[in-house]
Amino acid sequence: MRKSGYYKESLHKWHERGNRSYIFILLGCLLILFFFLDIILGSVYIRFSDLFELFTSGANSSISTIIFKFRFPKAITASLVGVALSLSGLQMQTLFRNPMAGPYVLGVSSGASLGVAMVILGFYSGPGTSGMMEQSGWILVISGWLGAGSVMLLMMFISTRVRDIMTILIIGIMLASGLSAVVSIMQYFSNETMLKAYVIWTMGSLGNLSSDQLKVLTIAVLTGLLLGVALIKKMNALNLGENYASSMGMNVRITRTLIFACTSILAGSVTAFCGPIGFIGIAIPHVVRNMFRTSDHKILLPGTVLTGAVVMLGSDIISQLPGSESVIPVNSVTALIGIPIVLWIILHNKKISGLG
Amino acid sequence: MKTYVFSTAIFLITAVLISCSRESGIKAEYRLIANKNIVSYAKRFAIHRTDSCTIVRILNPWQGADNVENIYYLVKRGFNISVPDTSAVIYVPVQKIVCMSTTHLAMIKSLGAEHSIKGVSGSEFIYDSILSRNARNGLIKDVGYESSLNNELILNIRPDLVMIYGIGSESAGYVGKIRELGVKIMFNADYLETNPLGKAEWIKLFAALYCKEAIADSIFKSVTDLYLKYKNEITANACYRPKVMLGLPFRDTWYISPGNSYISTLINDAGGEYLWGKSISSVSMPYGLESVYLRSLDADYWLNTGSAVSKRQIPIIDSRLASIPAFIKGNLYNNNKRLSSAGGNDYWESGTINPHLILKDIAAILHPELYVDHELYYYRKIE
Amino acid sequence: MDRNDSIMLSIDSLRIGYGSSLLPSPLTASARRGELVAVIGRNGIGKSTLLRTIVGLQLSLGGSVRADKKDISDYSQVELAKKIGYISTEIVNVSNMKVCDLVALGRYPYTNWIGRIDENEILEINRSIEKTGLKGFEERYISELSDGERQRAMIARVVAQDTDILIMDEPTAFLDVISKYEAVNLLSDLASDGKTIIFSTHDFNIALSHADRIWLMLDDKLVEGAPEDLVLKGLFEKLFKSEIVEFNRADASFFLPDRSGDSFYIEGEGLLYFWTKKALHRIGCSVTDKKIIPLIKTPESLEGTWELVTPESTFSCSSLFDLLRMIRKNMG
Repeated sequence: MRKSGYYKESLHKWHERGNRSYIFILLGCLLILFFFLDIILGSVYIRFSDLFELFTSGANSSISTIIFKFRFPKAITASLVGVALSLSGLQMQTLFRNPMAGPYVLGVSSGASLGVAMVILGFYSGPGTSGMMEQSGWILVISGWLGAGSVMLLMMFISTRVRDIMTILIIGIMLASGLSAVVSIMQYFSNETMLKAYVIWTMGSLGNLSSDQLKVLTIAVLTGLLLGVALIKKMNALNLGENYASSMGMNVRITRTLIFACTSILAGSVTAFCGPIGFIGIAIPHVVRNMFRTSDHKILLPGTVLTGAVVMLGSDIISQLPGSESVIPVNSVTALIGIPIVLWIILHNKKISGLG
Repeated sequence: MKTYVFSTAIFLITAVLISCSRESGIKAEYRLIANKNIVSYAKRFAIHRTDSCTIVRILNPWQGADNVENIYYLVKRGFNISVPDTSAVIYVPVQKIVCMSTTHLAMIKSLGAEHSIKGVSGSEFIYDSILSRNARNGLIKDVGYESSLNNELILNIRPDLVMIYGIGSESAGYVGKIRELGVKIMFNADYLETNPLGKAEWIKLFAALYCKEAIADSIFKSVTDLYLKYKNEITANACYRPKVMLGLPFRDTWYISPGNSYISTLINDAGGEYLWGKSISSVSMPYGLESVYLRSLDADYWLNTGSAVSKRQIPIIDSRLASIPAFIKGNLYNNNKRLSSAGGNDYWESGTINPHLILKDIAAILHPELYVDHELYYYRKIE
Repeated sequence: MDRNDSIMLSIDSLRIGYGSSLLPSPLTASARRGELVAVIGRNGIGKSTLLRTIVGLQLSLGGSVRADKKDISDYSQVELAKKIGYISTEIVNVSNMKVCDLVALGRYPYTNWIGRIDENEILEINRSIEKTGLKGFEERYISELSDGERQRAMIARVVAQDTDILIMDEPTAFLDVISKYEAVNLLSDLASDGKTIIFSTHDFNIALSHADRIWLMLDDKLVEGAPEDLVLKGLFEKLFKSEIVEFNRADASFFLPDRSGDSFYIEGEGLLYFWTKKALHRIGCSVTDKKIIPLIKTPESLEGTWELVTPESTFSCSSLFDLLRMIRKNMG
């Protein structure tokens, strides 16, 4: 059927999304900028001339060590963490239709914390635990993963048995609280060295990943990201709730399982490698929804992961306290950034920028 | 009515008289306090001897304390002295004590009074084999850590004194309960002393508690003499000051001891230069891994590598540590030569009263030509 | 022209409920192509449960549901979504969702793995928007719409889903009178396009005036038929019987049977007679055919006055409101 010019124009009238690409371009530029800043800012300021020298003649080995062994891996970690947590937060907020949901409502992070606590607070002493303060990185990661994985399996099982998604949310939150209570008991019986070590873990750290660990984290986050992209259509259907989504042909059981798996891979891996980093998962999706003013996950997903990476890089830059030798924990920075954002959005919009 | 007024007057006059006499009593004490403090190096406690009792003052016993002073009156058993605060009286010699730190154990044992130790915190970390055995047999009870002090157990022991060390003012809260029930608490702040001799000098406190002043004085004198002797030898003969780095990172933060710390003083006295010796801070500082790494490139020696016992453990913690020059050269030394099977480290136990040995160890490490025949006592090379 | 009016949806000995049956007897009913079916019943009888079971959101406890001659359990989920569309009572208020996005969601069973909206989809979506009278509303956010507009948007979504059968749970609830009729008009329109529409409602008048078929859920069975058939069979009296309210078969109205008030004779005719009688019924009085005192004279026209003649005196009232006031004051 031949479409006249006028008809075609009216066809596309509401379908034009021209102005959105500007925002994406802006986000892309910010990402590159912040990545660059994260590399040159730190305890030592790396000048452009040093960088230039590095790429042209490869000289000045201590600068090169700093960049390639410290700053570059950290910047990549920060980007991955930003992507993973914000995507996971978006999924949780859509699935539960709750604006305060975040990556940790399923208890994944609490499970990882319990696993790590068991190593640090001394209940596990076997190969790899040479002392109290220093643990081989992989032991913590594996115990964190085991903890997160167990919780994920438990929640998946529960989700097939329980119909109402709100009940599942409550169960997840209760599970998270219960696991935290167990950790508190362990903390109570620890001496201050172990306690300090555990507390430092909970403050989050982006800079201690070996290149092997970084490879594994990258694979995990990319897997989660791909799965997240495959779930875009289902997430859009879930905007209307599980009942409507089901009536439109979406299989609720399979979708729940996939979303849980995706979130657990993303949030669980981040927690296992970097500790529980908070507020990014809750705040970023709100910022993005406000920026793009859409509920279409074809736009929200890329927007969220880009913004998440940018904000996480920014948090890392701040936590390095550029120019000084000290550092502050990255969790404090994400909280200081995240909380005002959430408040601003809630107060700025008369209707809560959420899903209900 | 008249008799009522009369008796009230009598009562009031008597009260005034009594309080006046008490006033003069207090004044007498203060006069004595102005007397010589027999403690010379330690900054966190003072001892004044009077003819009736020994007055112990514990000063600023926790990090960040300011103008805090706890006064105790040590009175010989069988005597009865009037003091301003009867709850601060401790009858000596102490027969039963509960210690919250293994440092205390070493000092008590050096005075030959280890039979008085009835309770400890963290009994698995005791190095001394006899005490450790006693702990396993139940002769010494484990009373738990600060926040989870087993009050009932402590009460059961009925100690004359519980010696604790506080991490902060909230420690006062933990002990409030047992203090209420009449148990005597004394804060021990030896871990806050930045001068190794000052730390060792706390043996005088235990001396006062056990009426073993003579033994303690002689121990302390010999320790001080040896320490100063070594220090002078080093200053005279060491040709250059090697640079020293300490510790291990946790995750991506490295807690760096400040310049005015115990270990920094030791390194300095041993003729070394601590890379962060110029920093003034009262607590260890969280530095970013990268900035510590950069500075560590200058280090000649790497000491106190946490709980590492072999070289290969270090890159496991963080692979970047393997490119630190001191690591590559193999100049790694750790203070865990004397370790019990459960992980108790004698460096923290007898090391406190043997600062001269630690000094000699570090000097032998930094200047091998000075003490060629010295066998490392607390330190070992990490291979 | 012989229009195809095959049975599109049928339920056969269907048992519904949660664990235990809500209705002791199994349900049997059907709906043909192009029919507008209203499901009526008292609160709590299970209308929503029935509709959810038909859509497949709830498992039946026995019996079968057939859509287009095929049991719904034999459909795959996507195929079923292309056959049956559903609107529930849930109020959907997603922020940042535009009308075009909402309607586009209806194309879920047809789009590819990422839900791409191509030329074909845009065509369908535009069609649905026009059909539901929402042309020009595409860019509006659904949270900014009125209730009636939002309901139409939901209907547009289900129209875009291009199903033979539409199931709606109380589509006219919360709507004002005009929106209610507009919505039902739209549904009739869709029915004449060939869709089978089954909707539950508490709005009896709408069901009576628009539905082709009624599924009447009583305590002991489900009866189906044309609304007028059911009225004549006296079934509505059965449904609506209570101590307070009764259904009048003669004029399809509800009245409060308690006529303990006085009896009146009304002199007048036409509209004025009708509404004066209604007003008296409302305050519990009855109207006789025999001329008695007390007596009410309706005015010749609306500008005139009513006359209330009692044994004691005669009153003149300018409105029915005043008349009733007078009655209450003087008759006790």
